[in-house]
Amino acid sequence: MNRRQFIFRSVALTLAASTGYTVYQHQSLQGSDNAAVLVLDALLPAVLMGALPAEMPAQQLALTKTRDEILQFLAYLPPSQQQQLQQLFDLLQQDLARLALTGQWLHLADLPLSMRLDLLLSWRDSYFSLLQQAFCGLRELIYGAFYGQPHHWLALQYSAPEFNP
Amino acid sequence: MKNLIAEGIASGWSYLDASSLTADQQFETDVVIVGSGAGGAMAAEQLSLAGFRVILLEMGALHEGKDFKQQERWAYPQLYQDGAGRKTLDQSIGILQGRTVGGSTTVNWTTSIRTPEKTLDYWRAEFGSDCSSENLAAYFQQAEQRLNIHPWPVPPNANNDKLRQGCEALGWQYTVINRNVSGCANLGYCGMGCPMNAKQSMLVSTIPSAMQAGAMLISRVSARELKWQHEQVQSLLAVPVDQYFQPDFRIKLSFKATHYIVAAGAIGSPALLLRSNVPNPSRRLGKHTYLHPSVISGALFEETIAGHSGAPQSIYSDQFVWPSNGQAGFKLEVPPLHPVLMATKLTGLAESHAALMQQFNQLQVVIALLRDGFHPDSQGGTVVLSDHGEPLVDYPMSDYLWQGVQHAYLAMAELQFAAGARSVLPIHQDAQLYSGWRQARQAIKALPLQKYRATLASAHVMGGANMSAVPAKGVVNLVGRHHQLENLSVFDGSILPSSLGANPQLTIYALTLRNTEALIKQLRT
Repeated sequence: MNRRQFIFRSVALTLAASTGYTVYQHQSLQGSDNAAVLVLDALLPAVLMGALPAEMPAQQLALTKTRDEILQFLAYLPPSQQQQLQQLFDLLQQDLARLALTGQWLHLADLPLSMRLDLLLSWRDSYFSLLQQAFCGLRELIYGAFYGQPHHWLALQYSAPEFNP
Repeated sequence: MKNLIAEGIASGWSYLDASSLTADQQFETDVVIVGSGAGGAMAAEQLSLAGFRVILLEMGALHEGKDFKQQERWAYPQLYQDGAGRKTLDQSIGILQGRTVGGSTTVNWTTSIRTPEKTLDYWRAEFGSDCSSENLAAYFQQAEQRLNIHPWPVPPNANNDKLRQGCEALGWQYTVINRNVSGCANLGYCGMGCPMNAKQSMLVSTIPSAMQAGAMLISRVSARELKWQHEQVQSLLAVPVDQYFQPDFRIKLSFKATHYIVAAGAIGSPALLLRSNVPNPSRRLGKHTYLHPSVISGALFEETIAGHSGAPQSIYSDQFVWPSNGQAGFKLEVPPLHPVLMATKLTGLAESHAALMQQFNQLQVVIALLRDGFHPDSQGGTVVLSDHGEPLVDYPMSDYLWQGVQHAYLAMAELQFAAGARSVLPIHQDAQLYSGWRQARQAIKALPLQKYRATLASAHVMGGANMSAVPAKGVVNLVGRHHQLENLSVFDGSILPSSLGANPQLTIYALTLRNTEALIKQLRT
């Protein structure tokens, strides 16, 4: 655990204790018990900053579509990797929930994007290989799902040919 | 343009999609082959033409010609192992491996290189191999003729041409690549399945030919266990896979054959043998798995590169493959540049990543494939089984290999600047875009040589059931026959005793032709 993470976690746990929130209660506040959905919904807007469409409805559609593409893709991974990912999502959900609590945000959606990016970077720079894996794996899943969609190729000035339409 | 296999099936060729089965089924044949890639399909054709009854099994689905969509979001889940998301056990190295009828030959980038002389020398010295360039020449020629392997006569695309220009500027060696294509229109989508049957993969060559000669193809089937007794394999048990290619254990297929050929690739083959608990006195089964671990360097040019268009690989450089100082060597090539492949490998996050992606068409990329093996500090990885019986590859990167990584970053950056790059980005979490060679050199030397910081990838899996003259040093003998089980052969990249220092398909074709010839002789007696 690096210094930044240590501070995040210590403060979060202290606050959680003092406010009486448990992680479980906090998750319930999000209206979802699916850790993967929660983590992805929290991270996608941060990871895709600069790549998302500017208009709000298009942006929301891109986020939802990318999240769904990721969830569909997970089924192609071997069972052991799916299990590992599920555990990872559970762990990351707790990290995010704790972080939200440090600012007394009741909804993860209110957590500033810069803080979500900081959290991601703290995983990248962590001493824990599990968190380093989380950073690399999530990044790959998110960018793969986003740039797999043809309507995100405009910014790349790329279009896939259709040889057998 | 025809879908050769679909048309053949319509005219009576024998084919089964195992996922359509609703009840257990038994099969009896002369030879059952697990895996339809470079090894399995090449053997299937030879055996079928020689009059043997052959059943060819493939875990992936049957897609060909007109089915192929030039979109990564379709191609990766449908045509690659784990949706192209296969990773080593610690998730630090991504592995691209085909999982479809034709195996990796359906999705590879067509580079066809004979086994390097020094690799053959090493096998002879360390493993008692009898392979030499001279006695393999006839098999190389046979494969080259069969698959129309020839030097690519079309000028390289800009991505490859920058590799050539850099080599010329620095006086480094480079070679025009031999490709297995016929009527290639230089499209650039080889990695998603050739949409015009130009790539001479197994899908358009040996598989249709074997089926025409009577072989049966079964797709969407996962071989689970070889049942053996008294030095003989008795049967093979298999199950269908579901729509996500996960084994479905409710239905069982069993195969009885005179001879069994395992050719499921250098991860799948050792895994099947490990699940079957076959005799393993050398303790080398699933050990010494080599990956050609590859590092990546991006560069931005003023001019358009558009590395998605044109033959993906047409130039390579062997300048650093065999260094005289004993350091880890590496081969320089380029990959095709498609949005998902690039977006997932490029470093940066949020706006910095988006800004790089917006320069997609100015991006040029070089890869360095480390020649692993050949050294006491590079003994490869290990295939182990998960609780579900699925293979996992544990591949530790030694300090020796990390030194090779650093040299490779340096060589790639120097080459890209020599070719006129305005900036170079080693694909490493701590690297930045560097605007000059001197700045890049200094920064690269300071980059931490650690997993997860350096992006590592592999497209070549080798070893894990290596050949050897004596049983103490390998899993199979010099013609791919299992040292202990008499009617079992391994015919794929698993049998290689080291990595190659070259792309493996032509080596696998030639060794399989040689080993199948020996097998046919033996089966006839």
